[in-house]
Amino acid sequence: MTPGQRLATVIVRGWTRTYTWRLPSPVRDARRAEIDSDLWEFEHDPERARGAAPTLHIVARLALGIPDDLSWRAANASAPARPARVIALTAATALIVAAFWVYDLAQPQSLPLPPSRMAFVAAPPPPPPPPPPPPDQTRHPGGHALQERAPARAVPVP
Amino acid sequence: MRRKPGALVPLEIAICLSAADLRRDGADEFHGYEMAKRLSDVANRRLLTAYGTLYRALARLEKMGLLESRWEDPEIPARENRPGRRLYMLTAAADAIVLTAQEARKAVSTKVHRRLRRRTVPA
Repeated sequence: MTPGQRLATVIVRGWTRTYTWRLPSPVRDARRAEIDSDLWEFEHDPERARGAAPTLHIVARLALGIPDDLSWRAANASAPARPARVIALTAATALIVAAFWVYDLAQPQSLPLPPSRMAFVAAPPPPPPPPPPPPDQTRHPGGHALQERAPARAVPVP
Repeated sequence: MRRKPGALVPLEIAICLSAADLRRDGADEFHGYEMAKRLSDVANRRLLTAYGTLYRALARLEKMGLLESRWEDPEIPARENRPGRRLYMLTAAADAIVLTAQEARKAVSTKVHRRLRRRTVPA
């Protein structure tokens, strides 16, 4: 293996470690092992590993696959993380609600006092209704007697 | 561009076809590098399929149930002093897809042959 090929292999391994970082261990280890196996097979393939071309070949295979590596990473990172986060949040909320409920139950509660004894007394007869008031007869100077004063009207202010 | 769920891209179809060809030749299982070599031979390309592209396609086919994989017995790589291989195999679910793809390939090659014959044979 030439130094260039060794360097290219190190770069591929480094990149694989980077994009599989913090993934679930079965997924991460499988991808790393698969890339390791591929690099080894390439290195020991008598048809391919000759001259300076293998170094470029490894680098090109790495560079062309980066978008797919990233989308694979995104697909694998979001799938297990999301349910775990939802479960953790739900559990935390439930725990907080339960804690409030238990705290509320533990508090001494004062019951409302019963009403005092009530005495029932016969009510006096209702007073007679007052006579109807006389109609308002206002005499204007020089005018007629008005039956009733007209109610005030609200006049809209422009 | 987002692809439809369940739809196969040309690389995935090529993997299924190559796996079927390997099976016909007596190799039921294949590993990633072997598939990369096979794909470049079929397409007559010098460059092998990129790592990310190849392994993502294999993972997707496995998720769709068209391939299944297993790690080889650890004694074998230990004896041969090499990393372990992940071996893939076509499932029965892939047979229908392979059949359709083979028919499509045959139809295309027939059409191409006919056109070539028309051009080469003077009227």
